[in-house]
Amino acid sequence: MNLEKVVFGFFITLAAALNFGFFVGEIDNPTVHNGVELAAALVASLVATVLKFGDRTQLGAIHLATSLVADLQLLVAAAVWVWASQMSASGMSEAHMSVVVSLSGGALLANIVSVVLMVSEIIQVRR
Amino acid sequence: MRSSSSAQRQTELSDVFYLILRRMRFPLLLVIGVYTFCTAGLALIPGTDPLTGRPSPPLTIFDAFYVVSFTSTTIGFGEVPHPYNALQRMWMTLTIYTSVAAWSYSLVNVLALLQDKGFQNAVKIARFTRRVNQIRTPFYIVCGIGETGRMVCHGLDHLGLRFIAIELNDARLQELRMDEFGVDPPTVVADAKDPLLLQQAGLMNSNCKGVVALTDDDPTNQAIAVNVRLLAPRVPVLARIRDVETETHIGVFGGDLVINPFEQFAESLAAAITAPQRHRLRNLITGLPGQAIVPIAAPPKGHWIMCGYGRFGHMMVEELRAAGMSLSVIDERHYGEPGVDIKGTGTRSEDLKAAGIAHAVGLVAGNASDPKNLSIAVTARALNHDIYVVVRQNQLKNTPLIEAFDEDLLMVPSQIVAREFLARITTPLLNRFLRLIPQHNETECAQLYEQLSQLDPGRHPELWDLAISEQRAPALADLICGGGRFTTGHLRANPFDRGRRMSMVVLLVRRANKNIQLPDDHFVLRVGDRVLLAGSPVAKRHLELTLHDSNALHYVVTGQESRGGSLWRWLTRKNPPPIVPLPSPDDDLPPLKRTNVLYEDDSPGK
Repeated sequence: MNLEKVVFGFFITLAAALNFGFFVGEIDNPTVHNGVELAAALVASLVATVLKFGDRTQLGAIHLATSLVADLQLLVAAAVWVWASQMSASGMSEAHMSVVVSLSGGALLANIVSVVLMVSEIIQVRR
Repeated sequence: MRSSSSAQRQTELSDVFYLILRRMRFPLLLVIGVYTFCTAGLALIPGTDPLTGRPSPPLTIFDAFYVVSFTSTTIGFGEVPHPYNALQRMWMTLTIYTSVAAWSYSLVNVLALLQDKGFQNAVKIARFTRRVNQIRTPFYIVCGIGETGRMVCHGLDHLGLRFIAIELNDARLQELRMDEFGVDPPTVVADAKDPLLLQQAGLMNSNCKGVVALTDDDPTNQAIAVNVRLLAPRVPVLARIRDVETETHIGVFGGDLVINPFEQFAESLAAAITAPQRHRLRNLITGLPGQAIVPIAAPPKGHWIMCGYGRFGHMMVEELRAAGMSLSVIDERHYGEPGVDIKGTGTRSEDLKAAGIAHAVGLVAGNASDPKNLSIAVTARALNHDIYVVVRQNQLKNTPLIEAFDEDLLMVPSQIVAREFLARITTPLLNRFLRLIPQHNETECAQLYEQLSQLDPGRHPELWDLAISEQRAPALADLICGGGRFTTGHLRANPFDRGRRMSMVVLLVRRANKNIQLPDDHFVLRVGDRVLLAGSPVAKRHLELTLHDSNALHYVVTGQESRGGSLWRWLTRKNPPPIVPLPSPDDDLPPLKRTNVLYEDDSPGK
């Protein structure tokens, strides 16, 4: 068992899980999407990115790329969230919420790709 | 497979970036962790409204992140909605100590990485490799930048060729960087023995035309030669070997040239006594093109005196004895060894008298010290004014001293090696031609010398290889493939006036494993032939026109001006141009008397 692999697998899965938790529910209903969950997903995704720094294998490069995509999406989602809840006149409206959730949905896709890559890597090793 | 590719890509600049990232992994994780922890805490602790004193909701996650950000970087803004309560202040204290520490740790880590010798080296190698990969023209690798190496570098630069310098000693490389070159060469401070380094220096690159091993250390030169032979068998490698034992060792390994400067000079002096014309010819074609020819007085036959019986002395004595000269050897340190006749340095007139200076015709001052050699030469001249003096110069910086004394022949080991290396590595066919020279007698050599010295009067002519191939001579290859007839006479015809010949001589045509020496003007060339040419710089330039421009080529072959474009050429490609004999020129060089046009197989044993 490789501790590095455990830690990396943990954070990749955690990022995907938290993101999924935030994403599920009606897209425009602010009450079913929790901001803390979004923040947690962002942190987990950042950690997963840093964990892949310096890995020069082909798979490592793809991992880095996908988690960078997830980071970007989540950062924008968080920024929209902060703006909508603290700056905009209407407060967190349904339109704002759907933007945030769809962005996190994009990040979720990137997270899923990461998880699939990780699983496929494991299967390759088993063979 | 992964390991081999990573070994080759080990030091690209992007890899340096990866190195930084990998080293930054833990510091960054630490920063993220501390931030998350502090932000979460701050976003959970409820505040207190200062006006009412009642609990107010905690900071939002974004506000908390904002506060932690300016705290951890010690910027410390104070604009927060309202003063904190005690619990919040406690948490902020914790935040300050942990996050500032985490940031400082990360910064120190980055700075330490930048200071790291290994890292700096990786950056240097990466820059070097990138510069090497950017070279798109033929280049040479010079390992070892001592006196000889520097001379080779300047010679290559003079010929307009790129080179890459590898040297272990940084100070020497600094000197080289101060020198002026046409194009700034990529240099690296490293041990050239390392096969990986040779690869980084572009050994596997198809533009790499040769490697020159000139380090101070024989085993290193040998290792370089072996590495090149194994890694890139097509790249010629020249190694300088000073010790005779090492040389035989390396000779077994491949047909590469190993030059022992002492042996080289001893042989050439002996050759100059027995066959002065051949020696003169050899000197002419191995000289640096464009440099003035320095006339050499032929050394006389008779009794010789050899001062100094070291490695050089041994070689000289052997060669001079073989040439049939009688010899007296003077040496102090090696006195008692067989072969040494007189004990002494040669600086005292008694020693020289004892060696028979009165009836001697020549003297070789061959010690490893320049002042000693000069004082021997001066004493000898005082005793016998007409004596032929050969002086060995060990260090280039003593040139003014040596110049003040009017010796007959100067032996500078570094120059001998540099000249020979340059001539051979830039024109591989020259090697073959030099090996064929002993087949010619003195009269033929004298004739050839006369012709070659007229090519670029007063100067060493340009010598170059020409492969009749699609890349090197596209127009000509097309013509021959289309059934055209092209002779060496056409090669020599002036592309502006075909009735005249350029000052150029075809020395050798190599076809498969046959050598055709000094072919006449009616020799028909084929695709795949390699031709060794000698001529003036102008002729070299004009010939390029014939080889590349199909209109110029058409004119040379048929005598008709043609202005056709590619379409017309394509339409008429099936019809080879008509053969119109070249008018015989009135201003051509006198024809050589060709006693032997050789069509022999070239056995490697020769």
